[in-house]
Amino acid sequence: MPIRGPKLRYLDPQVLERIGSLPLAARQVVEGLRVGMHKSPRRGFSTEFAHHRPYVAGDAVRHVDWRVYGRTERYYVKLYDAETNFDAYLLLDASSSMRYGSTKHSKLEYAKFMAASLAYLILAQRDSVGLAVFDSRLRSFVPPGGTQGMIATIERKLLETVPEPRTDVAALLHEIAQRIKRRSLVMLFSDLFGSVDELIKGLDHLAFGGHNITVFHTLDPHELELPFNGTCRFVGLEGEAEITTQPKRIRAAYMKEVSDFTAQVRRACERNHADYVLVNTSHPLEVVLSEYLLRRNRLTAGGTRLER
Amino acid sequence: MELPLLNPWMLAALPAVGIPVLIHLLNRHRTETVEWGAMELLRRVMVFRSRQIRLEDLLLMLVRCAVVLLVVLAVARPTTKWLPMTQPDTGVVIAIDGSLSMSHRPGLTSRLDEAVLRVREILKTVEPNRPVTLVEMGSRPRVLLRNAGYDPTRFEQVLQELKPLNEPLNLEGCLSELEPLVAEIKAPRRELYLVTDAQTATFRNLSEKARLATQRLAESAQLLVLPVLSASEENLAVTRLELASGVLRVGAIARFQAVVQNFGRTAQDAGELSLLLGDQVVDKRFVGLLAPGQAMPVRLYAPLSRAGVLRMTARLGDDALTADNSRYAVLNVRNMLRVLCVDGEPMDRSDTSATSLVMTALAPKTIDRSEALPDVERIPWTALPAARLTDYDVVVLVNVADMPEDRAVALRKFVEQGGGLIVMAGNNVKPEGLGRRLTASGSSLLPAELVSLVRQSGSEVSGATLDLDLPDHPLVRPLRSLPKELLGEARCYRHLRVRLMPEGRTLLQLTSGEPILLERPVGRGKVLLWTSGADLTWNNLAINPAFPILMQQAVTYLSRQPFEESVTVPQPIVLPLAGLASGTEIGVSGPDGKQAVVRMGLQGGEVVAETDRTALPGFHDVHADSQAPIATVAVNVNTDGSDAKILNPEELAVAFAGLPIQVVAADRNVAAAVTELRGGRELWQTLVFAAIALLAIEALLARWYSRRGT
Repeated sequence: MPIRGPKLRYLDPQVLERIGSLPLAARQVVEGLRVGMHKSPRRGFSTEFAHHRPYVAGDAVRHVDWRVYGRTERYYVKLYDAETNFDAYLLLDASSSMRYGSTKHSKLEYAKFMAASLAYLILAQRDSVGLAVFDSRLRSFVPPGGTQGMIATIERKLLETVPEPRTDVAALLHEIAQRIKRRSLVMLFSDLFGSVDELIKGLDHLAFGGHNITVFHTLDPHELELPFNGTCRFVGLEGEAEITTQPKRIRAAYMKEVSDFTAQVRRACERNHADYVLVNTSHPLEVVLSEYLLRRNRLTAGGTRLER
Repeated sequence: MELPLLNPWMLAALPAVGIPVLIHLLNRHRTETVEWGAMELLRRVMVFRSRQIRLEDLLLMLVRCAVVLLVVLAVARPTTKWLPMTQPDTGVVIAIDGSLSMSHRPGLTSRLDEAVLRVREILKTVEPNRPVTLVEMGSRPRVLLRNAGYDPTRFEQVLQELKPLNEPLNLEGCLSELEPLVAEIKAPRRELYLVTDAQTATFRNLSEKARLATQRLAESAQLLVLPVLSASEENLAVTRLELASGVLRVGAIARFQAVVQNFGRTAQDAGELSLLLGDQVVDKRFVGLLAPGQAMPVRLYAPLSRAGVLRMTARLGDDALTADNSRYAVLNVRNMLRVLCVDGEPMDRSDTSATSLVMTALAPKTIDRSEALPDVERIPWTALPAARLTDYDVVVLVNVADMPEDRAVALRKFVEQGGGLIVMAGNNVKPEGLGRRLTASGSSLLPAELVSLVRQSGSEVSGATLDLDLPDHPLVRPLRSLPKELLGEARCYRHLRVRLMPEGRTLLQLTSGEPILLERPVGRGKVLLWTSGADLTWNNLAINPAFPILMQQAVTYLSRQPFEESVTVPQPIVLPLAGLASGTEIGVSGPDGKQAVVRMGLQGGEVVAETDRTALPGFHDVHADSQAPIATVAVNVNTDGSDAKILNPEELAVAFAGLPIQVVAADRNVAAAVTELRGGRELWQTLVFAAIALLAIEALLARWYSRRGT
């Protein structure tokens, strides 16, 4: 889908070019109003052949229409199954801690780029996408939509988003779980700083609703490695008490703490069949997204799809 | 536990121990502020690491402080005496008594030779390169080797060249000056050795100053006195040789008075005392047996047969201490001795006029016409302006009322160039006349300012009498040998009251204390002031038999040149020399023939030559060029050091009672005594090693803590 209209800040053509050919498939069945590329839980709907679509890496070879190939020498896949579209919810953590950034972009900016790029991708494959921005509470909520205007709406909301103190991701997940009536794709962009136990409860709640969940655990490289020297006074972005220390002296312990933290989140995601993506904001966005999409598609095509 | 410090002032650097703390505090303030999101993760880490870090920091800081402390202590160089001496950490100051008595040589060896033997014993206990100071004591300490690393060859050479000093020991002065020499020795243990003959005169009753100096020295060093053995304590000395009387002109006979004293413990036969004029014996007197301590005056006569500088020597036969057996004097004999008498009352030509009495006293009519007397010329005071003063040796102003100012200036110049002036009071002499003239700036000559006329009751009987307690002065010395009654008859009816000037000195005074005869040196000459004159209405002194003696002695005294005054070792020779400009170099050669170059300088507006301290008794010649000497100075030993009696170890212990001094008797082995005393060592090396070890520990800890973090 070409980008039309004024240039959008959070859509980088280079990124889109890299990930544009990678579909975002729901790993589980999702409910949609229109026919889409995702398996619907409703039997008998659109069970006949509907149309072809270009083969993408990861598609089962048995679905390739060899006749068409014989004529055109291009790979097309025949869609037999009842397929539907999905609603995707992009949950963006806009708390103050996301303001931190040692690279070109802060974590929040990086998350906005990710959200916008994925929104574009979702809309491009005719699925619906919505946006929820939160800090200590839900700041704004854009219900899912599949029109091309959605990308502009989301871009505008992202532009309006400024960091606010205090994150309570767990409460937000509970609230989102109550709002979403259909089984949907839920993507969470956050550094997840807060109570891990509460976060796990929120994920459990979302997973109970049958949603496809992806957690983009967004962290700055400094937060992963604590590379400072000398004596540093750490001032909490969310009003926590200051800590003065020599980072070099605690680096190993800190990195172990980070490792434990991410492992804990990762385990919680696995238990809830959610995708966990540890995002290092020093890595190029297109690489992060393409790796994620490829991995996801591989898992989906490889029969690891789980149905309820 | 006592830890004396060699550099105690370095403790001022102790606050440097706080530097690591300061750096720590400064670093705490030099922090980088980081706005941080993952505070919770950080907080969880800090919960268990912060206490560890604080402990680690505290430990590192303590180690660093300890390193600084150890370095400061090391440079302060603490020492200890409670540890056994593992290395030769002793610094030594050896003070050798080099005074006159140490020349005493009763046999083959002198006391100084014995002292050198004891010094060698001390040096045997000193390790090479340890600090040693070698001092020879006399009137002051002479440093032979100062704080030098001990080198046996070098020290032996100095000891072999050691010579006695021909001067008495100034113990208290030497002890005081030894203090800085001891203090500068850098060693945990310092020892001060006094190697001396322990002369009774010096050591029997130590002065309070000497005791205090000893106590101060004992605070920084172990004091040991090493007396030397002496087989004899006998000594005879010529303690004085003076011109007693006689006019110093060719043909006269000079009478000398010498004093021979027995300083020993037993009666000694002094034998003969010879008077030598140059190398020729001109008189000889038998002195005979002298009791212990007895001083015998001996009169000696010398005919003055030629003009010039005569070298007179009074010599005793040799004994154990030869340096004080000879005494030297110099006489400047003239062909003629001319005196100008300026008469203030020329109209009075009677034999009893003051001027006539003065002239008679100076040149009495004697039966023996061959006796050499001064040539006295009489002129009225009005002829003074026309007189050539340089033709005379002495000018006498008798009752002169005043004179023109240019004459007063000329008179001052005459005196400055070595002439003598006698001013005699009288009815014409008024404070506002001659008094003002001869005290004015530019022509100031009088030793005192004339104030007023004092009249006694007027009768002979009730006149003021002279104070018969005469000072020891060459001018009045002959009067001391006269019967007391003679001077006791003298009466003074009138005199001028005076106010003594700083340069003035009273030689004769009334019993009331009023000065009668005063003296003042002016340049190379001298001025005498008779405040009672020679007028018979003022006093009866002019007809007293002592008057001619006094007047002739005054002429002799005034006509003598500065170089005729003998010098005592170690005083320098200070000589005003006419006709030489400041900066001119002259040569002064001593009895040993060695010549020293001396540069003329200005002292009190006068050009003088001042030599270094004298060392050798005898005649010292002053040469302006290669010609004959322009002056000769007699230099004598100070016989205060001639008393060769010494204290035995028991007496010495009594003398040092209450003082922290150890006496090592002459028969005791020095090395054994010293080894017994020594102990202790310096700790700076230990402290430096400890500091280095702590630094290594600190580096390891810091590295380990750092690695634990990463």
